[in-house]
Amino acid sequence: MRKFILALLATLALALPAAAHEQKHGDLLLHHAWARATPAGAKAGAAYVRIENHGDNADTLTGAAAGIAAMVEIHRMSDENGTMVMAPAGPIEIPAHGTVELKPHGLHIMFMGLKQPLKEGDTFPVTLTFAKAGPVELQVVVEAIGGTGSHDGDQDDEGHDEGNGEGEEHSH
Amino acid sequence: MNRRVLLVSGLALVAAAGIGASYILNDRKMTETLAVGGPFRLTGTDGQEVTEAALKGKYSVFFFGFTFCPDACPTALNTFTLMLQKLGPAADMVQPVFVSIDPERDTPEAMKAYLESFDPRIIGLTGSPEAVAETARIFRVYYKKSGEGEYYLMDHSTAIIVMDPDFHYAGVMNGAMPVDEMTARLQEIMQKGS
Ligand SMILES: [Cu+2]
Repeated sequence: MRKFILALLATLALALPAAAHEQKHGDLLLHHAWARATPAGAKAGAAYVRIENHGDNADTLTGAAAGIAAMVEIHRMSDENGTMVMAPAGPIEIPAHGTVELKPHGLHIMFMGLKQPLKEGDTFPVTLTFAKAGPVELQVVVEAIGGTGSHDGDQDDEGHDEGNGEGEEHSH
Repeated sequence: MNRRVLLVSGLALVAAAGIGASYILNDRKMTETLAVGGPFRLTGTDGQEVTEAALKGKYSVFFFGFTFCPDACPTALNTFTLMLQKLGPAADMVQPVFVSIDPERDTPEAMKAYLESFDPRIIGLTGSPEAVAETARIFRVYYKKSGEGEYYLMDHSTAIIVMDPDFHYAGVMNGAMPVDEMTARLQEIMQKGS
């Protein structure tokens, strides 16, 4: 019985980061930080997160840091007439009562000079810094190479916003 | 045949090939401008030379990218992997090819390691900067280095070019297509060609 409970606790502990994967930071709510597993030997990777601002004042995402790579930057990727263009995004405003979503084919936390591959099921810390709310450490969950960041890992779950260029910015 | 007739028939050919009006036809370069894709000379993941001869007999599906790519390239290769499964026996007629447009970083060894995470039927090609530039020119693929230092980036076109078993241009797809759409598009291209 004791063994069973220990096993159960261990399972729960493993399941925890994936389940309630939401973090409050001042007026900000950071939802589901995730990354895709990287192919063998890859020296670059990316992570994504949805940032909701529930406050009456705008905030600004000014940077990111992580121990897993030599260099970390916020990038914007965009499709310009069939050419994939990626560049540092600069400071990103999170409007009052607005949401900014970092997601594939758009804004991302870019890891350059990865020290080891990102493996499915692993988690690792990333610190995002906001002008007003200050720094916050997130636990990033690594999904499959073909992952889409949907909560149950189902490929088709978020198909409605697949393939559109920008990180989304909208009010709610 | 005078120049005008050549130009007109050339335009008709371009239209017939479905390439559209995106290429500026200049009458001196016209014969070159007509074709998308053609003979190339690159290096495989084992360090040996690979030319179009190795790809004849199948539909080859070319995607140009680089391994220092966090999103578009692994996504396209993952889609290739899933597409090969979906195609079933028809996959025997398909040869996906990943060509690096970042030969500075993408050595044959780096390509080999990277592709181990995907379907083993996908082949990887790289080469000297000159060989890669020439191949990209032949396939009408754009790429450009951006940024500096060790962690420079590459802008690159996400077009996927399909060549028929005789290694003539057969059609174009996009690397961002979901797997079902890409599979259907490839089947359509293969049916048209047979
Ligand atoms: Cu990036």
